Amino acid sequence: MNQSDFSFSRKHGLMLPSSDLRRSRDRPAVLTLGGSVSGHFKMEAVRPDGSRRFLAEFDNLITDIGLERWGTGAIIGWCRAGSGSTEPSVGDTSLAIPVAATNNTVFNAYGAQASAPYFGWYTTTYRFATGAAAGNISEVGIGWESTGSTLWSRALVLDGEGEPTTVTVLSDEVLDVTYTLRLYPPLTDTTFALTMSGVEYTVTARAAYVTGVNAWCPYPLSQIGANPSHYPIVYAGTLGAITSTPSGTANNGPLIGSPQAYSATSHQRDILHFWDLLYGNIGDVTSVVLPSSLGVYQFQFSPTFNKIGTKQLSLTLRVSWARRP
Amino acid sequence: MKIYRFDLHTRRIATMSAPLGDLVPTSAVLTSRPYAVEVDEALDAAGVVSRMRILMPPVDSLDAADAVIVSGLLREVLKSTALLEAIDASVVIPSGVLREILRSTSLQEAVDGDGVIVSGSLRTILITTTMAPESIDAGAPLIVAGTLT
Repeated sequence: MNQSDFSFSRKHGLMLPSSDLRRSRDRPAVLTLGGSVSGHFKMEAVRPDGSRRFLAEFDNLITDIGLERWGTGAIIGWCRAGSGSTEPSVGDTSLAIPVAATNNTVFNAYGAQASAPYFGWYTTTYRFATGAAAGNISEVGIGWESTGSTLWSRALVLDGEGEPTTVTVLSDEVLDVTYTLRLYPPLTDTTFALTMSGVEYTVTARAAYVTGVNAWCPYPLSQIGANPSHYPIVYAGTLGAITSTPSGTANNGPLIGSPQAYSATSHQRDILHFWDLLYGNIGDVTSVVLPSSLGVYQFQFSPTFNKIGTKQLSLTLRVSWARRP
Repeated sequence: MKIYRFDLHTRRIATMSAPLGDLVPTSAVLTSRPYAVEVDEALDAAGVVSRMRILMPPVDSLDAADAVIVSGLLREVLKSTALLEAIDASVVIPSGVLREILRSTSLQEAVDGDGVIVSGSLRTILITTTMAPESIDAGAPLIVAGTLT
């Protein structure tokens, strides 16, 4: 039954099969009672666009090779659609049965939550050309290449009850897939010891500026550590809230941080921050802010240290990432 | 426009040449579109008319770009349906299941701005799939080395 076979019934507030409406109008009066038409048939018949209902239930899974990939390069760039039905696994490297792939994006946006729960997000919409994904689609994935073992994420298409289902894309249809990645900051402080030029410090670490769009949106188009969003800064005052930064006199470093080599399977990255003789000369330093492309952090030192024009300061920040439980 | 009524004297459906008073919304009969008019009647067990309504056709309006449904009866239905229909900040319906049905009927042949839906086409649907957000935890940060020289 085609969509053109449907007509609007104000009585039911629904699109109904025209044949049923005709029966309703033409039927003998004695058959009126109990002769109403169920709307369920038509809702199923017009279902090709119903995939939007399914997707809120999607259970996406980030792959192991995806987590590893972020240490060396972009994790997204291609959307893949397939017809496989095997349950997603962290060990997946590609779709079960690939059908089509596209790197055509029609929408990109990023941001950060202004209130708790705090997270940064990045979203992009991929559009398959008309007919490119025609057929039955039951799995989708995001990866950094169109083929091969380059899959960041895989999911089965699920219906409203969370059960695997199939979406049929017709030859004159396009398919849009919107993918969103979230990055959650740590919400609690951590304390560790650091020996710097022969002096041992107790350092308290805390996320900073968690509502900052550039500070906490994830950057899936480049490796972790590349292009931190801000310069490092030294402060005279103590730590601020996670939505803020330390207090007091401040001075930034001359450069953004420099990522160090990635150690395979570590899922962590070191970023070197540096203040030369001309920068950061505020005297006693209590706190620092160290940015990365995986969030911005503040650290408080005890005891304080003295940064003046005759000293250079270097601090190596280590960030790590993991699949959120 | 042909309008029907149920004649209580003859107990037959009759055709009228004028609106049925307050049963027919004024705004509905002002439409210039050649909609058909439906009659909905119910009889009790004895075969006597217990309820009768004139079902007016939908009168919906698309905006200048034919891209959104800005007003009308179907729009109200779309807003209240359990299907996922989107309503943007300005309270128009930019996307959704029923909206696509409406747009693809012969009465609502619409041309999408990006050419996805071609004028006159009875069936071109934009399928939108939204993958639920995936999340990454940023682990506790460390300063693993430092020098002050």
